[in-house]
Amino acid sequence: MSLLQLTRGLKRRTVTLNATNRLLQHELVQSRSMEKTLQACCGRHEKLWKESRLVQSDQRRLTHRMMAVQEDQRRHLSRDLQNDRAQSLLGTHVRLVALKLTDRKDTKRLKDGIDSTQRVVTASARSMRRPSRALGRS
Amino acid sequence: MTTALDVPKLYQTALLAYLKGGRAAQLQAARGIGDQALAADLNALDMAKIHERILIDRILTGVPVRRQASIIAKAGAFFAAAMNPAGSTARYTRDAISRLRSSVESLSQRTVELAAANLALSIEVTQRKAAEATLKQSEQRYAKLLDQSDRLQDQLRHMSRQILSAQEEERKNISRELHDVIAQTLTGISVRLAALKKEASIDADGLQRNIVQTQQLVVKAVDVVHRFARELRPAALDDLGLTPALRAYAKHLSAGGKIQVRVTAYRGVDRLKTTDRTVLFRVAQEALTNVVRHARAHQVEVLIKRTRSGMRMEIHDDGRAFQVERVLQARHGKRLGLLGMRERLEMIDGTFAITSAPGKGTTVTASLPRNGATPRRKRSTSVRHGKATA
Repeated sequence: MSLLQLTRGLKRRTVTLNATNRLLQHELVQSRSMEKTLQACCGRHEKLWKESRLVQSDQRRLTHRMMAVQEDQRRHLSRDLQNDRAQSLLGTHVRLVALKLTDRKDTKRLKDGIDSTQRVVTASARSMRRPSRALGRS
Repeated sequence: MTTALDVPKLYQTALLAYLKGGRAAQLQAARGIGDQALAADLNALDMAKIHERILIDRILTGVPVRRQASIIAKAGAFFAAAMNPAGSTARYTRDAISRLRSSVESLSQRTVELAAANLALSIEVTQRKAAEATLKQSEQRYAKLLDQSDRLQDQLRHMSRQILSAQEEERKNISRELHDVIAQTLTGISVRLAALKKEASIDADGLQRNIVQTQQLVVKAVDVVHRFARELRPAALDDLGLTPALRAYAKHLSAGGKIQVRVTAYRGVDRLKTTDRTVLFRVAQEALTNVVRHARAHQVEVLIKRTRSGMRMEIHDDGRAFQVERVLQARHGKRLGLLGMRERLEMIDGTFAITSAPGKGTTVTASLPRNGATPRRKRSTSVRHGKATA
Protein backbone atom coordinates (compact mmCIF):
# COMPACT_ATOMS: atom_id res chain seq x y z
CA MET A 1 0.00 0.00 0.00
CA SER A 2 2.73 2.37 0.91
CA LEU A 3 4.55 1.53 -2.34
CA LEU A 4 1.43 2.33 -4.33
CA GLN A 5 1.00 5.60 -2.45
CA LEU A 6 4.64 6.40 -3.04
CA THR A 7 4.25 5.66 -6.74
CA ARG A 8 1.15 7.85 -6.99
CA GLY A 9 2.92 10.67 -5.13
CA LEU A 10 5.96 10.36 -7.37
CA LYS A 11 3.77 10.43 -10.48
CA ARG A 12 2.03 13.59 -9.28
CA ARG A 13 5.40 15.19 -8.48
CA THR A 14 6.75 14.19 -11.91
CA VAL A 15 3.74 15.75 -13.65
CA THR A 16 4.17 18.97 -11.65
CA LEU A 17 7.90 19.05 -12.34
CA ASN A 18 7.30 18.43 -16.05
CA ALA A 19 4.86 21.34 -16.20
CA THR A 20 7.31 23.61 -14.35
CA ASN A 21 10.06 22.46 -16.66
CA ARG A 22 8.02 23.37 -19.74
CA LEU A 23 7.22 26.80 -18.27
CA LEU A 24 10.85 27.43 -17.42
CA GLN A 25 11.98 26.39 -20.87
CA HIS A 26 9.41 28.70 -22.44
CA GLU A 27 10.56 31.52 -20.18
CA LEU A 28 14.17 30.81 -21.11
CA VAL A 29 13.40 30.94 -24.82
CA GLN A 30 11.64 34.28 -24.34
CA SER A 31 14.48 35.56 -22.18
CA ARG A 32 17.09 34.56 -24.77
CA SER A 33 15.11 36.27 -27.48
CA MET A 34 14.74 39.42 -25.34
CA GLU A 35 18.45 39.36 -24.53
CA LYS A 36 19.31 39.10 -28.22
CA THR A 37 17.03 42.04 -29.05
CA LEU A 38 18.48 44.12 -26.22
CA GLN A 39 22.04 43.30 -27.27
CA ALA A 40 21.26 44.42 -30.81
CA CYS A 41 19.60 47.57 -29.50
CA CYS A 42 22.52 48.30 -27.19
CA GLY A 43 24.99 47.76 -29.99
CA ARG A 44 23.04 50.13 -32.22
CA HIS A 45 22.89 52.78 -29.49
CA GLU A 46 26.59 52.40 -28.75
CA LYS A 47 27.42 52.77 -32.44
CA LEU A 48 25.19 55.84 -32.74
CA TRP A 49 26.74 57.34 -29.62
CA LYS A 50 30.27 56.77 -30.93
CA GLU A 51 29.31 58.34 -34.26
CA SER A 52 27.63 61.20 -32.45
CA ARG A 53 30.78 61.77 -30.38
CA LEU A 54 32.86 61.95 -33.53
CA VAL A 55 30.48 64.50 -35.03
CA GLN A 56 30.46 66.37 -31.73
CA SER A 57 34.24 66.42 -31.69
CA ASP A 58 34.32 67.78 -35.26
CA GLN A 59 31.65 70.31 -34.39
CA ARG A 60 33.64 71.41 -31.33
CA ARG A 61 36.84 71.79 -33.37
CA LEU A 62 34.92 73.84 -35.93
CA THR A 63 33.42 76.07 -33.22
CA HIS A 64 36.84 76.57 -31.61
CA ARG A 65 38.34 77.41 -34.99
CA MET A 66 35.54 79.89 -35.66
CA MET A 67 36.08 81.49 -32.26
CA ALA A 68 39.80 81.82 -32.95
CA VAL A 69 39.16 83.30 -36.42
CA GLN A 70 36.60 85.70 -34.98
CA GLU A 71 39.08 86.86 -32.36
CA ASP A 72 41.77 87.25 -34.98
CA GLN A 73 39.51 89.33 -37.20
CA ARG A 74 38.46 91.48 -34.27
CA ARG A 75 42.11 92.10 -33.41
CA HIS A 76 42.95 93.09 -37.00
CA LEU A 77 39.89 95.25 -37.38
CA SER A 78 40.48 96.96 -34.06
CA ARG A 79 44.09 97.65 -35.03
CA ASP A 80 42.99 98.88 -38.42
CA LEU A 81 40.47 101.27 -36.86
CA GLN A 82 42.89 102.58 -34.27
CA ASN A 83 46.11 102.75 -36.23
CA ASP A 84 44.80 103.75 -39.63
CA ARG A 85 41.36 105.36 -39.55
CA ALA A 86 41.61 107.06 -36.15
CA GLN A 87 45.13 108.28 -36.95
CA SER A 88 43.87 109.73 -40.19
CA LEU A 89 41.14 111.61 -38.28
CA LEU A 90 43.66 112.78 -35.72
CA GLY A 91 45.75 114.12 -38.62
CA THR A 92 42.75 116.21 -39.67
CA HIS A 93 42.38 117.38 -36.10
CA VAL A 94 46.03 118.43 -35.91
CA ARG A 95 45.66 120.33 -39.21
CA LEU A 96 42.64 122.14 -37.84
CA VAL A 97 44.57 123.06 -34.68
CA ALA A 98 47.40 124.42 -36.84
CA LEU A 99 44.86 126.32 -38.93
CA LYS A 100 43.37 127.86 -35.82
CA LEU A 101 46.79 129.08 -34.77
CA THR A 102 47.60 130.64 -38.19
CA ASP A 103 47.72 134.41 -38.31
CA ARG A 104 44.24 135.55 -39.41
CA LYS A 105 45.67 138.40 -41.37
CA ASP A 106 47.95 136.18 -43.42
CA THR A 107 45.23 135.24 -45.87
CA LYS A 108 47.56 133.32 -48.16
CA ARG A 109 48.88 131.08 -45.38
CA LEU A 110 45.35 130.64 -44.13
CA LYS A 111 44.12 129.55 -47.55
CA ASP A 112 47.11 127.22 -47.97
CA GLY A 113 46.36 125.74 -44.55
CA ILE A 114 42.72 125.23 -45.47
CA ASP A 115 43.84 123.62 -48.75
CA SER A 116 46.18 121.24 -47.01
CA THR A 117 43.55 120.39 -44.32
CA GLN A 118 41.01 119.76 -47.05
CA ARG A 119 43.41 117.35 -48.72
CA VAL A 120 43.91 115.48 -45.44
CA VAL A 121 40.15 115.37 -44.86
CA THR A 122 39.53 114.05 -48.37
CA ALA A 123 42.21 111.41 -47.89
CA SER A 124 40.67 110.54 -44.55
CA ALA A 125 37.18 110.27 -46.05
CA ARG A 126 38.65 108.04 -48.75
CA SER A 127 40.33 105.90 -46.10
CA MET A 128 37.00 105.50 -44.32
CA ARG A 129 35.41 104.23 -47.52
CA ARG A 130 38.33 101.96 -48.30
CA PRO A 131 37.38 98.39 -47.51
CA SER A 132 39.35 96.86 -44.69
CA ARG A 133 40.94 93.46 -45.17
CA ALA A 134 39.49 92.56 -41.81
CA LEU A 135 36.07 93.74 -42.96
CA GLY A 136 36.17 91.43 -45.96
CA ARG A 137 34.08 92.60 -48.92
CA SER A 138 32.33 95.44 -47.11
CA MET B 1 -19.26 -15.71 -1.36
CA THR B 2 -17.17 -17.88 0.95
CA THR B 3 -16.23 -16.35 4.30
CA ALA B 4 -13.39 -17.24 6.66
CA LEU B 5 -15.87 -19.14 8.87
CA ASP B 6 -17.04 -21.36 5.97
CA VAL B 7 -13.53 -22.50 5.07
CA PRO B 8 -12.85 -25.01 7.98
CA LYS B 9 -16.09 -26.91 7.25
CA LEU B 10 -15.44 -27.04 3.52
CA TYR B 11 -11.85 -28.12 4.14
CA GLN B 12 -12.91 -30.85 6.55
CA THR B 13 -15.50 -32.32 4.11
CA ALA B 14 -13.08 -32.33 1.23
CA LEU B 15 -10.23 -33.82 3.30
CA LEU B 16 -12.41 -36.63 4.61
CA ALA B 17 -13.57 -37.40 1.08
CA TYR B 18 -9.97 -37.46 -0.13
CA LEU B 19 -8.79 -39.71 2.70
CA LYS B 20 -11.59 -42.14 1.97
CA GLY B 21 -11.23 -42.13 -1.80
CA GLY B 22 -7.63 -41.11 -2.20
CA ARG B 23 -8.07 -40.25 -5.84
CA ALA B 24 -5.95 -37.60 -7.42
CA ALA B 25 -9.06 -35.92 -8.86
CA GLN B 26 -10.11 -35.09 -5.35
CA LEU B 27 -6.97 -32.99 -4.94
CA GLN B 28 -8.62 -30.58 -7.37
CA ALA B 29 -11.16 -29.86 -4.62
CA ALA B 30 -8.27 -29.03 -2.30
CA ARG B 31 -7.03 -26.38 -4.79
CA GLY B 32 -10.55 -24.93 -5.01
CA ILE B 33 -10.69 -24.59 -1.21
CA GLY B 34 -7.24 -22.99 -1.31
CA ASP B 35 -8.60 -20.37 -3.74
CA GLN B 36 -11.63 -19.72 -1.51
CA ALA B 37 -9.38 -19.37 1.57
CA LEU B 38 -7.26 -16.77 -0.26
CA ALA B 39 -10.44 -14.94 -1.25
CA ALA B 40 -11.53 -14.97 2.41
CA ASP B 41 -8.19 -13.37 3.26
CA LEU B 42 -6.78 -16.43 5.06
CA ASN B 43 -3.04 -16.92 4.83
CA ALA B 44 -0.91 -20.10 4.92
CA LEU B 45 -0.61 -20.07 8.70
CA ASP B 46 -4.39 -19.86 9.13
CA MET B 47 -4.81 -22.80 6.77
CA ALA B 48 -2.16 -24.80 8.65
CA LYS B 49 -4.03 -24.26 11.92
CA ILE B 50 -7.35 -25.35 10.35
CA HIS B 51 -5.66 -28.45 8.87
CA GLU B 52 -4.09 -29.38 12.23
CA ARG B 53 -7.32 -28.94 14.22
CA ILE B 54 -9.39 -31.04 11.79
CA LEU B 55 -6.72 -33.75 11.71
CA ILE B 56 -6.45 -33.99 15.50
CA ASP B 57 -10.12 -33.41 16.43
CA ARG B 58 -11.97 -35.14 13.58
CA ILE B 59 -9.77 -37.61 11.83
CA LEU B 60 -7.10 -39.11 14.09
CA THR B 61 -9.31 -39.56 17.13
CA GLY B 62 -9.82 -43.31 17.66
CA VAL B 63 -7.49 -44.30 14.82
CA PRO B 64 -4.88 -46.88 15.84
CA VAL B 65 -1.39 -45.47 16.12
CA ARG B 66 0.03 -47.75 13.42
CA ARG B 67 -2.40 -46.21 10.83
CA GLN B 68 -2.03 -42.60 11.92
CA ALA B 69 1.28 -42.08 10.11
CA SER B 70 -0.13 -43.00 6.69
CA ILE B 71 -3.24 -40.80 7.29
CA ILE B 72 -1.08 -37.83 8.30
CA ALA B 73 1.07 -38.25 5.20
CA LYS B 74 -1.99 -38.46 2.90
CA ALA B 75 -3.58 -35.43 4.61
CA GLY B 76 -0.26 -33.62 4.11
CA ALA B 77 -0.57 -34.11 0.33
CA PHE B 78 -4.10 -32.66 0.50
CA PHE B 79 -2.84 -29.66 2.51
CA ALA B 80 -0.06 -29.07 0.02
CA ALA B 81 -2.59 -29.06 -2.84
CA ALA B 82 -4.78 -26.62 -0.93
CA MET B 83 -1.83 -24.31 -0.32
CA ASN B 84 -0.75 -24.23 -3.98
CA PRO B 85 -2.84 -21.13 -4.96
CA ALA B 86 -1.39 -19.23 -2.01
CA GLY B 87 2.09 -19.91 -3.37
CA SER B 88 1.14 -18.63 -6.84
CA THR B 89 -0.36 -15.53 -5.32
CA ALA B 90 2.76 -14.93 -3.29
CA ARG B 91 4.89 -15.13 -6.45
CA TYR B 92 2.50 -12.82 -8.28
CA THR B 93 2.67 -10.37 -5.37
CA ARG B 94 6.43 -10.56 -5.30
CA ASP B 95 6.54 -9.85 -9.03
CA ALA B 96 4.13 -6.93 -8.65
CA ILE B 97 6.13 -5.51 -5.77
CA SER B 98 9.29 -5.88 -7.76
CA ARG B 99 7.68 -4.08 -10.69
CA LEU B 100 6.40 -1.37 -8.36
CA ARG B 101 9.82 -0.96 -6.83
CA SER B 102 11.37 -0.68 -10.23
CA SER B 103 8.69 1.88 -11.18
CA VAL B 104 9.33 3.81 -7.97
CA GLU B 105 13.04 3.75 -8.69
CA SER B 106 12.64 5.05 -12.21
CA LEU B 107 10.08 7.63 -11.09
CA SER B 108 12.37 8.74 -8.30
CA GLN B 109 15.25 9.02 -10.73
CA ARG B 110 13.08 10.98 -13.17
CA THR B 111 11.90 13.22 -10.34
CA VAL B 112 15.46 13.86 -9.26
CA GLU B 113 16.48 14.56 -12.85
CA LEU B 114 13.53 16.89 -13.40
CA ALA B 115 14.17 18.70 -10.14
CA ALA B 116 17.84 19.13 -11.10
CA ALA B 117 16.86 20.32 -14.60
CA ASN B 118 14.34 22.74 -13.13
CA LEU B 119 16.92 24.09 -10.73
CA ALA B 120 19.40 24.59 -13.57
CA LEU B 121 16.68 26.23 -15.66
CA SER B 122 15.69 28.50 -12.76
CA ILE B 123 19.31 29.54 -12.29
CA GLU B 124 19.67 30.23 -16.01
CA VAL B 125 16.40 32.18 -16.10
CA THR B 126 17.58 34.25 -13.10
CA GLN B 127 20.93 34.86 -14.76
CA ARG B 128 19.23 35.83 -18.04
CA LYS B 129 16.97 38.23 -16.18
CA ALA B 130 19.98 39.81 -14.49
CA ALA B 131 21.70 40.08 -17.88
CA GLU B 132 18.50 41.56 -19.31
CA ALA B 133 18.39 44.17 -16.54
CA THR B 134 22.06 45.05 -17.14
CA LEU B 135 21.43 45.35 -20.87
CA LYS B 136 18.41 47.57 -20.24
CA GLN B 137 20.49 49.82 -17.98
CA SER B 138 23.24 49.92 -20.55
CA GLU B 139 20.75 50.80 -23.27
CA GLN B 140 19.29 53.58 -21.12
CA ARG B 141 22.79 54.90 -20.42
CA TYR B 142 23.64 54.96 -24.12
CA ALA B 143 20.31 56.60 -24.93
CA LYS B 144 21.07 59.29 -22.33
CA LEU B 145 24.61 59.79 -23.61
CA LEU B 146 23.32 59.99 -27.16
CA ASP B 147 20.77 62.58 -26.12
CA GLN B 148 23.45 64.63 -24.33
CA SER B 149 25.74 64.41 -27.32
CA ASP B 150 22.92 65.45 -29.66
CA ARG B 151 22.06 68.36 -27.41
CA LEU B 152 25.67 69.52 -27.27
CA GLN B 153 25.97 69.23 -31.05
CA ASP B 154 22.81 71.26 -31.41
CA GLN B 155 24.21 73.92 -29.09
CA LEU B 156 27.58 73.94 -30.86
CA ARG B 157 25.86 74.29 -34.25
CA HIS B 158 23.86 77.24 -32.96
CA MET B 159 26.97 78.76 -31.47
CA SER B 160 28.85 78.44 -34.80
CA ARG B 161 25.93 80.12 -36.56
CA GLN B 162 25.86 82.80 -33.88
CA ILE B 163 29.58 83.46 -34.31
CA LEU B 164 29.09 83.80 -38.08
CA SER B 165 26.12 86.12 -37.73
CA ALA B 166 27.89 88.13 -35.00
CA GLN B 167 30.88 88.57 -37.30
CA GLU B 168 28.61 89.58 -40.13
CA GLU B 169 26.72 92.01 -37.90
CA GLU B 170 29.96 93.56 -36.61
CA ARG B 171 31.26 94.04 -40.14
CA LYS B 172 27.96 95.51 -41.29
CA ASN B 173 27.77 97.96 -38.37
CA ILE B 174 31.35 99.11 -38.72
CA SER B 175 31.09 99.47 -42.50
CA ARG B 176 27.87 101.41 -42.19
CA GLU B 177 29.31 103.71 -39.55
CA LEU B 178 32.56 104.30 -41.44
CA HIS B 179 30.91 104.74 -44.86
CA ASP B 180 27.66 106.43 -44.06
CA VAL B 181 28.44 108.43 -40.92
CA ILE B 182 32.16 109.18 -40.61
CA ALA B 183 32.94 109.45 -44.33
CA GLN B 184 29.85 111.64 -44.77
CA THR B 185 30.97 113.78 -41.84
CA LEU B 186 34.39 114.15 -43.42
CA THR B 187 32.82 115.07 -46.75
CA GLY B 188 30.79 117.67 -44.87
CA ILE B 189 34.00 118.95 -43.28
CA SER B 190 35.63 119.15 -46.69
CA VAL B 191 32.70 121.17 -48.05
CA ARG B 192 32.86 123.39 -44.96
CA LEU B 193 36.58 123.93 -45.53
CA ALA B 194 35.92 124.85 -49.15
CA ALA B 195 33.46 127.44 -47.91
CA LEU B 196 35.96 128.65 -45.31
CA LYS B 197 38.53 129.18 -48.04
CA LYS B 198 36.17 131.54 -49.78
CA GLU B 199 35.38 133.33 -46.53
CA ALA B 200 38.96 133.45 -45.30
CA SER B 201 39.64 137.02 -46.31
CA ILE B 202 36.23 138.34 -45.31
CA ASP B 203 35.50 137.16 -41.72
CA ALA B 204 38.37 135.93 -39.56
CA ASP B 205 36.14 135.45 -36.45
CA GLY B 206 33.66 133.41 -38.43
CA LEU B 207 36.56 131.33 -39.70
CA GLN B 208 37.73 130.67 -36.14
CA ARG B 209 34.22 129.61 -35.08
CA ASN B 210 33.91 127.29 -38.05
CA ILE B 211 37.25 125.68 -37.34
CA VAL B 212 36.16 124.95 -33.74
CA GLN B 213 32.89 123.38 -34.93
CA THR B 214 34.78 121.33 -37.49
CA GLN B 215 37.20 120.17 -34.78
CA GLN B 216 34.25 119.04 -32.66
CA LEU B 217 32.97 116.97 -35.59
CA VAL B 218 36.37 115.38 -36.06
CA VAL B 219 36.71 114.58 -32.33
CA LYS B 220 33.27 112.96 -32.42
CA ALA B 221 34.32 110.85 -35.40
CA VAL B 222 37.53 109.84 -33.62
CA ASP B 223 35.47 108.81 -30.58
CA VAL B 224 33.20 106.66 -32.75
CA VAL B 225 36.17 104.91 -34.34
CA HIS B 226 37.79 104.36 -30.95
CA ARG B 227 34.56 103.00 -29.51
CA PHE B 228 34.30 100.49 -32.32
CA ALA B 229 37.90 99.47 -31.88
CA ARG B 230 37.46 99.10 -28.12
CA GLU B 231 34.29 97.07 -28.52
CA LEU B 232 35.98 94.76 -30.99
CA ARG B 233 39.05 94.25 -28.88
CA PRO B 234 40.53 96.72 -26.41
CA ALA B 235 44.04 97.76 -27.39
CA ALA B 236 44.94 97.63 -23.69
CA LEU B 237 44.60 93.85 -23.77
CA ASP B 238 47.49 93.55 -26.24
CA ASP B 239 49.48 96.60 -25.23
CA LEU B 240 49.11 96.65 -21.42
CA GLY B 241 47.80 93.25 -20.34
CA LEU B 242 44.73 91.55 -18.88
CA THR B 243 44.36 93.56 -15.67
CA PRO B 244 44.35 97.03 -17.29
CA ALA B 245 41.97 95.79 -19.97
CA LEU B 246 39.61 94.34 -17.34
CA ARG B 247 39.85 97.48 -15.20
CA ALA B 248 39.02 99.66 -18.21
CA TYR B 249 36.03 97.44 -19.00
CA ALA B 250 34.95 97.48 -15.32
CA LYS B 251 35.21 101.28 -15.27
CA HIS B 252 33.07 101.48 -18.39
CA LEU B 253 30.40 99.24 -16.78
CA SER B 254 30.52 101.11 -13.47
CA ALA B 255 30.10 104.44 -15.25
CA GLY B 256 26.31 104.12 -15.19
CA GLY B 257 26.39 104.09 -11.38
CA LYS B 258 24.06 101.10 -11.01
CA ILE B 259 26.79 98.56 -10.48
CA GLN B 260 30.23 98.53 -8.89
CA VAL B 261 32.85 96.25 -10.43
CA ARG B 262 36.12 95.63 -8.59
CA VAL B 263 39.06 93.88 -10.24
CA THR B 264 41.84 92.26 -8.18
CA ALA B 265 44.62 90.26 -9.79
CA TYR B 266 48.00 88.85 -8.82
CA ARG B 267 51.01 90.59 -10.27
CA GLY B 268 52.16 87.92 -12.72
CA VAL B 269 48.83 87.68 -14.55
CA ASP B 270 49.92 90.07 -17.28
CA ARG B 271 52.67 87.67 -18.31
CA LEU B 272 50.07 85.21 -19.58
CA LYS B 273 50.17 84.14 -23.24
CA THR B 274 48.05 86.28 -25.61
CA THR B 275 45.63 83.39 -26.23
CA ASP B 276 45.10 82.73 -22.51
CA ARG B 277 44.76 86.45 -21.83
CA THR B 278 42.19 86.81 -24.61
CA VAL B 279 40.13 83.83 -23.38
CA LEU B 280 40.08 85.11 -19.80
CA PHE B 281 39.11 88.58 -20.98
CA ARG B 282 36.28 87.21 -23.13
CA VAL B 283 35.00 84.98 -20.30
CA ALA B 284 35.02 87.92 -17.88
CA GLN B 285 33.40 90.16 -20.50
CA GLU B 286 30.60 87.63 -21.09
CA ALA B 287 30.10 87.04 -17.34
CA LEU B 288 29.95 90.78 -16.61
CA THR B 289 27.58 91.38 -19.53
CA ASN B 290 25.30 88.66 -18.11
CA VAL B 291 25.42 90.29 -14.66
CA VAL B 292 24.42 93.65 -16.14
CA ARG B 293 21.68 92.13 -18.30
CA HIS B 294 20.10 89.60 -15.94
CA ALA B 295 21.38 89.63 -12.36
CA ARG B 296 20.24 93.04 -11.07
CA ALA B 297 23.41 93.02 -8.96
CA HIS B 298 25.00 95.94 -7.12
CA GLN B 299 28.48 94.59 -6.54
CA VAL B 300 30.69 92.44 -8.71
CA GLU B 301 34.10 91.17 -7.75
CA VAL B 302 36.58 89.91 -10.33
CA LEU B 303 39.38 88.04 -8.58
CA ILE B 304 42.33 86.47 -10.40
CA LYS B 305 44.58 84.39 -8.21
CA ARG B 306 47.37 81.89 -8.49
CA THR B 307 46.61 78.30 -7.44
CA ARG B 308 48.72 75.21 -6.89
CA SER B 309 47.71 73.78 -10.26
CA GLY B 310 47.77 77.04 -12.22
CA MET B 311 45.49 80.02 -11.88
CA ARG B 312 41.84 80.80 -11.29
CA MET B 313 39.56 83.69 -12.14
CA GLU B 314 36.37 84.13 -10.11
CA ILE B 315 33.60 86.54 -10.96
CA HIS B 316 31.15 86.83 -8.10
CA ASP B 317 28.02 88.99 -8.03
CA ASP B 318 25.40 89.67 -5.36
CA GLY B 319 22.49 89.52 -7.78
CA ARG B 320 19.58 87.12 -8.20
CA ALA B 321 20.28 83.44 -8.83
CA PHE B 322 19.25 81.31 -11.80
CA GLN B 323 19.01 77.60 -12.68
CA VAL B 324 22.31 76.92 -14.37
CA GLU B 325 21.46 73.37 -15.46
CA ARG B 326 18.33 74.49 -17.25
CA VAL B 327 20.20 77.24 -19.03
CA LEU B 328 23.03 74.89 -20.00
CA GLN B 329 20.61 72.32 -21.38
CA ALA B 330 18.57 74.80 -23.40
CA ARG B 331 18.28 73.80 -27.02
CA HIS B 332 17.81 75.77 -30.23
CA GLY B 333 20.45 78.39 -29.64
CA LYS B 334 19.02 79.85 -26.44
CA ARG B 335 21.42 81.16 -23.79
CA LEU B 336 24.66 80.16 -25.49
CA GLY B 337 26.76 82.54 -23.38
CA LEU B 338 27.64 79.93 -20.75
CA LEU B 339 28.46 77.37 -23.42
CA GLY B 340 30.63 79.96 -25.20
CA MET B 341 32.61 80.60 -22.00
CA ARG B 342 33.09 76.88 -21.49
CA GLU B 343 34.18 76.27 -25.08
CA ARG B 344 36.63 79.16 -25.02
CA LEU B 345 38.22 77.72 -21.87
CA GLU B 346 38.35 74.24 -23.41
CA MET B 347 40.35 75.70 -26.29
CA ILE B 348 43.18 76.38 -23.85
CA ASP B 349 42.63 73.27 -21.68
CA GLY B 350 40.91 75.29 -18.99
CA THR B 351 37.84 74.43 -16.97
CA PHE B 352 34.66 76.36 -16.38
CA ALA B 353 32.30 76.20 -13.40
CA ILE B 354 29.33 78.25 -12.33
CA THR B 355 27.37 78.16 -9.10
CA SER B 356 24.21 80.09 -8.45
CA ALA B 357 22.11 79.98 -5.31
CA PRO B 358 19.33 82.24 -4.01
CA GLY B 359 20.69 84.77 -1.56
CA LYS B 360 24.27 83.93 -2.44
CA GLY B 361 24.48 85.31 -5.96
CA THR B 362 26.38 83.74 -8.80
CA THR B 363 30.03 82.79 -9.12
CA VAL B 364 31.69 82.03 -12.43
CA THR B 365 35.03 80.26 -12.10
CA ALA B 366 37.56 79.83 -14.88
CA SER B 367 40.63 77.76 -14.11
CA LEU B 368 43.76 77.41 -16.20
CA PRO B 369 46.46 74.78 -15.74
CA ARG B 370 50.03 75.86 -15.22
CA ASN B 371 51.92 76.30 -18.50
CA GLY B 372 53.03 72.95 -19.81
CA ALA B 373 50.68 71.05 -17.50
CA THR B 374 49.06 67.98 -18.97
CA PRO B 375 45.85 69.02 -20.74
CA ARG B 376 42.73 67.68 -19.14
CA ARG B 377 40.67 65.56 -21.46
CA LYS B 378 37.71 65.43 -19.07
CA ARG B 379 34.68 67.55 -19.92
CA SER B 380 34.99 70.82 -18.10
CA THR B 381 31.37 70.91 -17.00
CA SER B 382 30.16 69.44 -13.74
CA VAL B 383 27.08 69.68 -11.58
CA ARG B 384 27.40 70.07 -7.84
CA HIS B 385 24.61 69.23 -5.37
CA GLY B 386 21.45 71.35 -5.49
CA LYS B 387 23.18 74.46 -6.58
CA ALA B 388 23.75 74.24 -10.23
CA THR B 389 27.34 74.09 -11.26
CA ALA B 390 28.31 73.91 -14.87
